[in-house]
Amino acid sequence: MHLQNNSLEWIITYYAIIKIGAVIVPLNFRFVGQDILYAAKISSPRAFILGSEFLPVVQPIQKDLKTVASYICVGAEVPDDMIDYQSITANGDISEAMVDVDDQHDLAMMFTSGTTGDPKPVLHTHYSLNNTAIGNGMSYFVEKNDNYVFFLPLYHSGTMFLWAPFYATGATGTILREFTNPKWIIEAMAEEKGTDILFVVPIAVAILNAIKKGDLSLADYDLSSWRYMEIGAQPVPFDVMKRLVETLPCGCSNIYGITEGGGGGLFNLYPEEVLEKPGSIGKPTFGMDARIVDFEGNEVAAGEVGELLLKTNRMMKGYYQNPEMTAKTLKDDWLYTGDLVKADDEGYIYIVDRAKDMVTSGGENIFPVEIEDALMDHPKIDDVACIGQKTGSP
Amino acid sequence: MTEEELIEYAKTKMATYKVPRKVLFDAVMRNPTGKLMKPQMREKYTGRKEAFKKLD
Repeated sequence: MHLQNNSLEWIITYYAIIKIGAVIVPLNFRFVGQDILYAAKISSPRAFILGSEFLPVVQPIQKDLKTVASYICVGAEVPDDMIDYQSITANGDISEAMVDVDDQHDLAMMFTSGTTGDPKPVLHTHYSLNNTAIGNGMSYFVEKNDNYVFFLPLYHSGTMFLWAPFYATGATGTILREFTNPKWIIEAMAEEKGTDILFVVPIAVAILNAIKKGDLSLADYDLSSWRYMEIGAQPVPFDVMKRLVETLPCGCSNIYGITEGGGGGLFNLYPEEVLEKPGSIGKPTFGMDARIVDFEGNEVAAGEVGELLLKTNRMMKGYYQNPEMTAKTLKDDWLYTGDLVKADDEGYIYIVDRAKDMVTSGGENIFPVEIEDALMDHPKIDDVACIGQKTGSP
Repeated sequence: MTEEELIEYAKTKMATYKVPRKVLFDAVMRNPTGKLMKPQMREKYTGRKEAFKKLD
């Protein structure tokens, strides 16, 4: 198990674990003791690498983590019963680990954020991560001289889809520990000569608002190195996308992804298309096939809503030790995403909503995202969520 | 912004059956990547909605 805030050590220890053929379980920073115990029950970890900032969360449950034989702690104050990470880098054998691992060897168990019930352990292999690096390296024009500024959580598949190709390409990454404020992100892009960055909607809105209010002026910074900004992880309101295009000195693209399918970037709407195709997530990226089917599994016509199915070499092997759930999600090599989408005549895909979030009222299907999108256009609304409530009457 | 103001606005933007019936003003629950935590919100708001004060 692996629990650290964003740091250089986060990446070093990640690759160290997978290079020796072990399976990594990267944990969500927000996991509390109970969540960690849940992940441990499923994954039976032998070792636990943690940042000292998480000692207050981990120490109280140490006695219950029965399979953990050793703890490695990264930080200034390491407890006596844990191995100091610095002592390994200072005194350990740092020669290249040469362990033979098969392509299909398990690599990572990623606990999804649990949109339905308990987090599910998504099992990825060396094959799927390798293809994530290749597919996204090709689709996002990653090259050796790039410098990606990472400030979103590294454990998340929405960030993995870009650090994997950056690592594979030998490009530079600038790792920020966390998001503090809009100014700091822009400062980092300027000072580190960042070329790419990933946003999520709330952070994009915070940056746009800071600019609008006059708290932040992009003209004060040298942002000439900045090439791309990708935004995703949730439907991006067109109003937000339009303002980003008008405001930022770089190309803006809209991405879509799912942990089970290899993380972010499975679809991309490129900068030259974002204003032409409002609200679209674009088309499948390198090595990705997509179909849209109705609840009986029949392909739907353009413009009609159906479930998005994916077939790709970046896909998970399955949910760890959960054949029933795996069988429901992976059928005939197709991944059932649970996302309701429609395609236009040119094959651009539009997310309609999560199948489970759909609301039915008087026999009509309502997709909450449509309502959220319309309300977000209102100048006084920064953030909104629509949920259904059972009325008890038809 | 009031509940009425928001509902009136919604009526100009969407079909009647889509207009929200109820409006609560509270922090929207999102996970670290910004994804809406709808199951948690459904549990929180539709389970014990009376605990949340409506803005008037």
